[in-house]
Amino acid sequence: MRKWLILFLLSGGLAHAAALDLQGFATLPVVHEGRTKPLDTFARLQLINLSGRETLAGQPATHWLAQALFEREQAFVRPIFYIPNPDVVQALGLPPTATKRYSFKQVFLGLNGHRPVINQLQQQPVTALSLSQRQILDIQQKAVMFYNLTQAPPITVKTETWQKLGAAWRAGDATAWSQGLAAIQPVVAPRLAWEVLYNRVDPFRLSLALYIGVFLALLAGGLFWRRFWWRAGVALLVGGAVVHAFGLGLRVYIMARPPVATLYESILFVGLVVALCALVLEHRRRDGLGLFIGSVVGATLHFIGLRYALAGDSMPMLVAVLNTNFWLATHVLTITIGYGSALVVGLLAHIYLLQRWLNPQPKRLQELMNHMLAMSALALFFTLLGTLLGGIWADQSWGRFWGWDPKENGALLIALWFIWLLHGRLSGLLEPLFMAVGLLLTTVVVAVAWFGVNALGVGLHSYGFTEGVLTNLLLFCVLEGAFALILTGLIWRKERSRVG
Amino acid sequence: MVQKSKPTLWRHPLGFLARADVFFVLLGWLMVILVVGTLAQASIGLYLSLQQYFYAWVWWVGGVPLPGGATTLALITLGLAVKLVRQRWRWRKLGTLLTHLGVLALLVGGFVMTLWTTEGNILLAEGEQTDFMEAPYRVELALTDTATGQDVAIFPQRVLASGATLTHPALPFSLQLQTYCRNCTLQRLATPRANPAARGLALNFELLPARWRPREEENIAGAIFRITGAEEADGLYGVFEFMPIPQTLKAGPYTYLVAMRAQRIPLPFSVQLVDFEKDTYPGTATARAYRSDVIVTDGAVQWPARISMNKPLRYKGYTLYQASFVEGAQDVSILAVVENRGRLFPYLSTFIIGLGLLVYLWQRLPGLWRP
Repeated sequence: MRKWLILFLLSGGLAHAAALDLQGFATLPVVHEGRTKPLDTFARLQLINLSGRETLAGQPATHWLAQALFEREQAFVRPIFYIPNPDVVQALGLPPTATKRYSFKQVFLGLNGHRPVINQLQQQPVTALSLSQRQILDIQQKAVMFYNLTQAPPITVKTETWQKLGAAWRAGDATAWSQGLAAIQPVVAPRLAWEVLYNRVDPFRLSLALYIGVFLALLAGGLFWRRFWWRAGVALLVGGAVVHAFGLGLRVYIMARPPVATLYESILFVGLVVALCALVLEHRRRDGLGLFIGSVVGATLHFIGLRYALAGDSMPMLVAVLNTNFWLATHVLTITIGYGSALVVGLLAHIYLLQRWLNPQPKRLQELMNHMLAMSALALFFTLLGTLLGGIWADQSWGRFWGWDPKENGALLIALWFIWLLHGRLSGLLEPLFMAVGLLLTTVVVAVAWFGVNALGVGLHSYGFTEGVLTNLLLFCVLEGAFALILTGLIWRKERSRVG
Repeated sequence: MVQKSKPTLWRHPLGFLARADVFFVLLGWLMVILVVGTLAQASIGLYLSLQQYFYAWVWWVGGVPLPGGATTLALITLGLAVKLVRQRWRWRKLGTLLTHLGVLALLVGGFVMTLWTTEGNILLAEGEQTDFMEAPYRVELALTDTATGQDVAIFPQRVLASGATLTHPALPFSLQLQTYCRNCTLQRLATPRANPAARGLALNFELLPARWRPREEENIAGAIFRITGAEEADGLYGVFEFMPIPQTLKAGPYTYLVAMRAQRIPLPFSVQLVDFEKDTYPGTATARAYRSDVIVTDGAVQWPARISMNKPLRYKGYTLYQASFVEGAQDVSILAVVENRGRLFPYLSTFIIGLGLLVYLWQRLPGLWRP
């Protein structure tokens, strides 16, 4: 696994070791969407937007951009425009290909052949258009954007210097190239260099791989070499958490602000909290349960996060109200720690129900219930405090503590849910079985408060909602509900038959 | 946490509320209200959802009265208070006790603040000055003397209704509201109104009641009314909010401006906007920060202040914060104003709850965690 990892890292490095120094080019400062970012990030964003990928034919986006800027004719014939819809391909008179990617030249000719139709489409309101018509207009926009991209340097630079750089690129003259870069940017700002490193290492994909590794180690441990695989699993989970934390740390440094201000960042942070909770749990239990939870939740959140990461710059500038403030930082961090620990409790409850059905040993079940109660108390502490701190931020910023805004209510709901369950259990009103079912449903409450509130589209916090989230969310809730219902039924039948 | 109920608790009439099972049901109900009230915001907006769910004593579900948010919270608060009084205090229970105390302070503070909080907005273009704020979502029908600029008569929203007759001692005439709608659609009549007495807006337009919109600011109140007792000015008039053409009527020596406008709440000081500034991120229209430089005047005292995002101005129990702005030929700064007397409660209770939960974790966690 480790060797493979080193290879993984090296291969990333080797691909960039082209004849010309791309590193210096990658760190050029580009002002884009209000942020000064390295050209590397800018190139990635453009390439993802056009082709849905971060690399092109094994070469980094920076290389592609350099070509687009300095060797237009060659860039125009490279297949980069991703057109997955066969109707659009047909409408533009393009040949069907396996990669579904087309060059600028092809797209340009295709669009030009249908100029009158496109002009007509542009007159219509967007809502009146069919999906493929909208996609055709989208391709048209992207083609214009790409063409404009090739026409002017993305950075502020003297025309002469830029032309010299282009000549060096075309000639493959490494010395002139380096001199040209040095003329533009004598000293690389450390933030830019670190961001290029962040792009290259891609810490969250790496930690995703490690979390998946934990899961595989667990599976292998079930078959043979139990002890060895357990140790490997712990090592991998620790490694995953360290890389995860490193990535978050890098982001904090690059953006010079607290780690959580967007939905994407909350996903990253909650994932880390879960991994850490899982490690603590594993330290106490040493039976693989912590490893299981850490790998499953950690990997799942990374997968969800990847979807958001590909949606655009993952380090956007913040709207004015989020522009930092001590209480905002404390509130958001506390509440996301609460989300993370609540998810761990929810996962534990799944295990409890499965164990109670398959292998009911009263002592082990009691111990697991105690661990759930301990984690719930912790989750209650963080969610309740986080919610109240949110109120304090609101009071500091807006002069009012509580406004029944959807996001506030969502956070409150998680806290109330825990209060309800804990009081029910401690007063004996909730049997352990129903307590476990309630704790299982915590995942639903957290998911709804976290993602569902944004779907409402009202209130102060309705940021970062993307289409399709609602469907997935509903599916998740139904699945969790079904799981709880079916297991409760199974347990009930089994325990009744034993009593009878 | 909550002890098992003992028969002795029944002796006190309020003891019932302190029972664990009663609390369990109440809290469950509160969660139902919370979820329904939040979902409802997507269709009816925050303001109505507050009135119908969270601040409501009664929640009407298809004609059936059920306890609303205020009732449920009040019962929980009472139960908690009774429990705290009647409970035996022990060191072992310190964490629970502190947490419960903190929650009680939070709930009581919440009630106090809800009763005593007034909210409003101030809209100022650069150079303008005001000594009132506008209440959100409540309107008033105001008659102003155009010569002095003074309000002569103000009819608040609660007296406005279709068919109502409005009179005021300072007015020589009366107003009969033919149509009043909190949210109106303006409709141009195909032919001018047949009624020969129709004036101004009422001549060519009709106001039709429309559904309440969830984005509160999109609701435009309006009224069609008949003036009687003003001799030659008698007739049918129409007004609506943000009307571009002022509607005036002459009665005797006075000319009145009639306006449907946001309800005005006087402030004990005045605010003048000197300068409004907005910073954007380079190359974008996204605001990074915006701020208003104002001059506050209270009696003879005058001083400058700066209000920016997340940095409000606090004075005499009022908090003025930078809420929004309207860009145009002349920038208009929108300040939100909150008058809030129980500000300290949440801080105090958050501290106590945080401390209480920490003590609770310290007292209980080891027992649950150790083998």
